[in-house]
Amino acid sequence: MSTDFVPISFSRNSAEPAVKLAKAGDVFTLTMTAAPDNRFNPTFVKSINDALDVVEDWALKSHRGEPCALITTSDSDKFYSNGLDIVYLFQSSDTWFVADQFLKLLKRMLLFPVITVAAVNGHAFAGGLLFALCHDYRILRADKGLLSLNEIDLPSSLLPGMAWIPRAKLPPTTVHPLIFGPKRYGGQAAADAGLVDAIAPADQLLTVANKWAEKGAPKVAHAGPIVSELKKDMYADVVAKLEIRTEVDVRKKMQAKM
Amino acid sequence: MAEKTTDFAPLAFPRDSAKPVMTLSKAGHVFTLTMTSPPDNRFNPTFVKSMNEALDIVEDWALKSHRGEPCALITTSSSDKFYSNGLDVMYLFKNPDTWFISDQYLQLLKRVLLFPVITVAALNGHTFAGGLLFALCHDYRILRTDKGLLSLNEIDLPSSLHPGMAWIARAKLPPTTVHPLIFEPKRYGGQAAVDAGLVDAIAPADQLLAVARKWADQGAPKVARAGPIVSELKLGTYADVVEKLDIRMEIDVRKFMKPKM
Repeated sequence: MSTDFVPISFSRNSAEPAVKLAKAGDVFTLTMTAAPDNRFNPTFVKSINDALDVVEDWALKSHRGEPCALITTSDSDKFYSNGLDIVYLFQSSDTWFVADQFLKLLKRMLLFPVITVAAVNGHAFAGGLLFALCHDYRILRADKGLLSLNEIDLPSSLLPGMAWIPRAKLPPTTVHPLIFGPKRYGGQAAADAGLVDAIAPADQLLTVANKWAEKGAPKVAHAGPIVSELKKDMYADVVAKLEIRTEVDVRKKMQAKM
Repeated sequence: MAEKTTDFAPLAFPRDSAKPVMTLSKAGHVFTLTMTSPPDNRFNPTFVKSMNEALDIVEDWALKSHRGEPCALITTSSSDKFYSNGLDVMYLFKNPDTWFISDQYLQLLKRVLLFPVITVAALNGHTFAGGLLFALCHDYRILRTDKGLLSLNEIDLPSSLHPGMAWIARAKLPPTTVHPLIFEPKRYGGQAAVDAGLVDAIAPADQLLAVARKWADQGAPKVARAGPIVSELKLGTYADVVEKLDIRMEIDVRKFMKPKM
């Protein structure tokens, strides 16, 4: 199918795009481009939400009834995402960012109306791993890229919603070492632990992600808004915890190393 | 690797008792709590009180007097046959205390589940019912390869499970293990216990404590760096279990259990 969608960039500032959205066939690809490691701060979250708005509008309104799916990935060779932008949180006094923007974004991904595939092409740590876990599927690069929930070493506690995502999505025998090890998983070990659905060599990662996305694309065509409703039914407990509003002052809670 | 000379003199609990039910010792950064209540380390008021006193010492060490230093806890048993056989039903029959389970035993489970240092259960013998639930509240479990079965045999006693007790199994074990464990009840030993997600590793009897020590050593730095955040993370991760363990229910064992002597 010839491309019916012109790629868009969502800017971190006037010069540097934070997120790019492209489409090929029925599959949108959202590429995180916020160097160096795609950390979540207000501009990044806004860019992702703007991109998701476009996909959501396409699938549920302007092209309703047509297949549609979403891949997310990163343009960095090293990182998918390293989680929250701690420097930003330290330097601003934005104590509601985590509850009102980051957790809300996690909830949005968890309930997204089309099938989502995270093509994890590099490290996915902390909030970046939680973001990936909120997708329907995860494909991990075979040779490189580790998954870790390293809050215990920062040290940082996990907000209820953040702790509940691994509880809901992962086998108990993975949850505990992941959080308290904190164990780092890569390659086949990540698949065996239930953290990812498949692994693929770097040069095939997006192809494999596309296969999974194409398989899921017809869901929204047939089910429309019921895809989201099903996600909400299945993960009602995670959603309830993600909605708990907690003020987070990292300057009080963490001794972050810059 | 040279170990620090022992900076902690072993203690027995109850203190000044002729028949201690528990001892606490320390080597390097790792405390070892050894249950010594024959024949099978059952939970009754003295046992629970002794355990809490021992845990008080470890908690004080890790969060106060030696805050910022590595610390971990191993629990094990001095019996060759049992880690723990669970609640002291005979005691509860003879000394009815309908609040013992809610207010002492379950609160002890909650305490271990949320304990501020990494905990390793060195399962050197059978671990049944309330004893298995106690072991499941640890961070990690190492099981003796050749001997020692794990079982939640309440259905055969027969006894129901308090909501908190059932939820420990639900939260910590794969669903495909939970159901047979409770409803057959299936007994797991050796490699099968590892495969079922009940324990993290197995080791021959003469290496059990050394292997448990390795896991404890690996976990000891956590509290050094994170302090009270270790407990906070445990609470965040197992909030549902804690909520259910906090449910206060009066339980008269004479009403629903008929133990065989």
